[in-house]
Amino acid sequence: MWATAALAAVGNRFAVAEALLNDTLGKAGITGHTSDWSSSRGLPLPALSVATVSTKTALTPSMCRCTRGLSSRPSRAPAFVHIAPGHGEDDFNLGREVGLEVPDTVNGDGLYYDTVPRLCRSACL
Amino acid sequence: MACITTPCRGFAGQHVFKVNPVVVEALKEHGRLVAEGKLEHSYPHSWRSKAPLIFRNTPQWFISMDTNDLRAKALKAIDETQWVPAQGRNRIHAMVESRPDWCVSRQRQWGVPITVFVSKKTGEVLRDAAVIERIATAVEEESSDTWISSDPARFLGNEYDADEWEQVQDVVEVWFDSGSSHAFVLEHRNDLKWPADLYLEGSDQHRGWFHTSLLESCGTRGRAPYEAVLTHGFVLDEKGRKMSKSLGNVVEPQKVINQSGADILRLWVVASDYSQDLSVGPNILKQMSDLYRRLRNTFRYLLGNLNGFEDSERVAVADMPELERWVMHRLWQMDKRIREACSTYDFHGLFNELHHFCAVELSAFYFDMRKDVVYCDAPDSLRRRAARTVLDTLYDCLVKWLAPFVCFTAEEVWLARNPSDDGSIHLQQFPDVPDDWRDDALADKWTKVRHLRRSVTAAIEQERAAKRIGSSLQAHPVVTAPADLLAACAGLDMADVCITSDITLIEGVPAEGAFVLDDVPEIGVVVNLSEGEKCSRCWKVLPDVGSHAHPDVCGRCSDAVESVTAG
Repeated sequence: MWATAALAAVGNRFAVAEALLNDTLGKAGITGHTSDWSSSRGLPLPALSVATVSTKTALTPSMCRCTRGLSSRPSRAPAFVHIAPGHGEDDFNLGREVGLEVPDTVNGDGLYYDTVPRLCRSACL
Repeated sequence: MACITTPCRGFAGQHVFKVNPVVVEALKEHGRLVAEGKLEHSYPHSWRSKAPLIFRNTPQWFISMDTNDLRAKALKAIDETQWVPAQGRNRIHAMVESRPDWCVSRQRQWGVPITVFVSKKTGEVLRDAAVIERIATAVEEESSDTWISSDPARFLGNEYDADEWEQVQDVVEVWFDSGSSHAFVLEHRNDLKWPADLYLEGSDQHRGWFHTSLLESCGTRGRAPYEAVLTHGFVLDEKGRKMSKSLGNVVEPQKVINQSGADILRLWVVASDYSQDLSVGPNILKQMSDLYRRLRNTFRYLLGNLNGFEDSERVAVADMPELERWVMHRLWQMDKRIREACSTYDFHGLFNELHHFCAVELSAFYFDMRKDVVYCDAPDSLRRRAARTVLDTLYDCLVKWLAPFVCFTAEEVWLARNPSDDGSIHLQQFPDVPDDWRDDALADKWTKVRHLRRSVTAAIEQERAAKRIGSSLQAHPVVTAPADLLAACAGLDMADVCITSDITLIEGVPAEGAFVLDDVPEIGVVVNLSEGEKCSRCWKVLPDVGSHAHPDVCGRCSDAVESVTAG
């Protein structure tokens, strides 16, 4: 199911939960990495290994946020959880619970509104 | 770190379900994708078309379940309501307990508009009694379309600038409409009362009409709009399958009515256990016709044997023979049962008992036994008068009790004895049954008598089947039974009870070769032939036939003929 050709480039940095590090590297096809534990200090989640370049795939800040202690796989908590409060009931409820804005992005024809932000090159941490 | 917008790919105007590859490409293009894969997961979809739903976030109007304690009020109202069957209470309680706020707005072309103005500046709803009154009056006098067709200034008046207020164009969801039916149906009609005695619908309405009526009424009236709620199952075919045009198993009520009459269909309704799904089909309807015929025969017997009955014939209950007092006791029991069944909506159980009473206790027992007395006793004989008094009482009770279920038949039966141009059984109340008809000791005694009778009847039936006798009146059974059973029969004409010409009762254990019912091992019956000649009037076989004033008859019949001739 997962693409085998690595898309990550040498020098990229990722914030990854320690428990999921090997799985993540495998799925991403990353064969070599270095871990930098010192970078995880001050982050809300414990045991984070920051590997190479920090990056983020969010469309907008309100569509993706890191929230402490939430995980779709409790046995592997803590982890990052990507939720889209505008695109599903569970995500909507979770978003409300943690106070996320619920953006209004889809019109009555199932098309994205003109107001939907574009994909940004900038990191929006 | 500013957004670089110019070379970015936008998603505006793209379809939610078609945009995924575009997003993936855009991420790749920007070097933001680390891995790509597919996950399978459940996703809400239309049960009919299987099309996946598209989630949208839109501003809507809600009724809060908690801001004004609507949830607490509704839960209290649920506990104050009678739910039939009882598990309905838990079902709706769980739904109300956990439900989210009630979204009442819809974006539709038709429907009842939500008639509010919202400030364009603050988003606040305009709360002005005069404006609301103008809207309410206009809607009441014209129609809800007025909201759409009128200039908003008409409602806003001079105090408000129409440019500063947005007129809401949403409509109320239809469940809010039906949830309000209690107000416009019950409150404005003199022949109806609020709250309703009963709301009645299929069990799916715990989520629908019962639910929204409850919330609407608790919010505006502080209590449920009903005292009781009854839910029934769904109608299935005889094999328990859902009815559908493609299966060709649809039973149309109108066809049943045309073929068998509305009373048969009503009987099916009342004979079915509505707490479960209900089956219907040709075989079941045929059974209903048989059942109906038994009731009709009961009425025919009553009408026939009450011909010419007059009040002067009546006998007081205290002066009646035991058997008649037993019937009166059973009527007292039935009356209690019927009143209880009506207040608990247990019509299925009620009908079973009524039918059993007519078919087993009356037709196969009381009527059968008393045929001899009613047909052959002299008109002034006490037991004949007592029997006719009981038949008259049975008629009165049964026609009134069965009137709700076999409406046309009951009317026919009623008018047969109460001819009237404007009278109707359906204008009658249930009969008043006095408590002094009750006689528990007599009932216990007759349980034993009927216990003994059952063995005798079965023994005679075997003889008839073997063609050793033709009619039970040719028989002289010799019955061996324990002392307590014989004590119960003491003082009774047990030959009459068993519809034989003679009978001998002996205390003891059944003799070798005697007939014994498997489940009644303590009673033995040997069926001998009755001695004597057959009375040509009552058909009993008796030794005294031919020795009386009138030829070929027994003493009782000779006297009866004498009194009729003399009369």
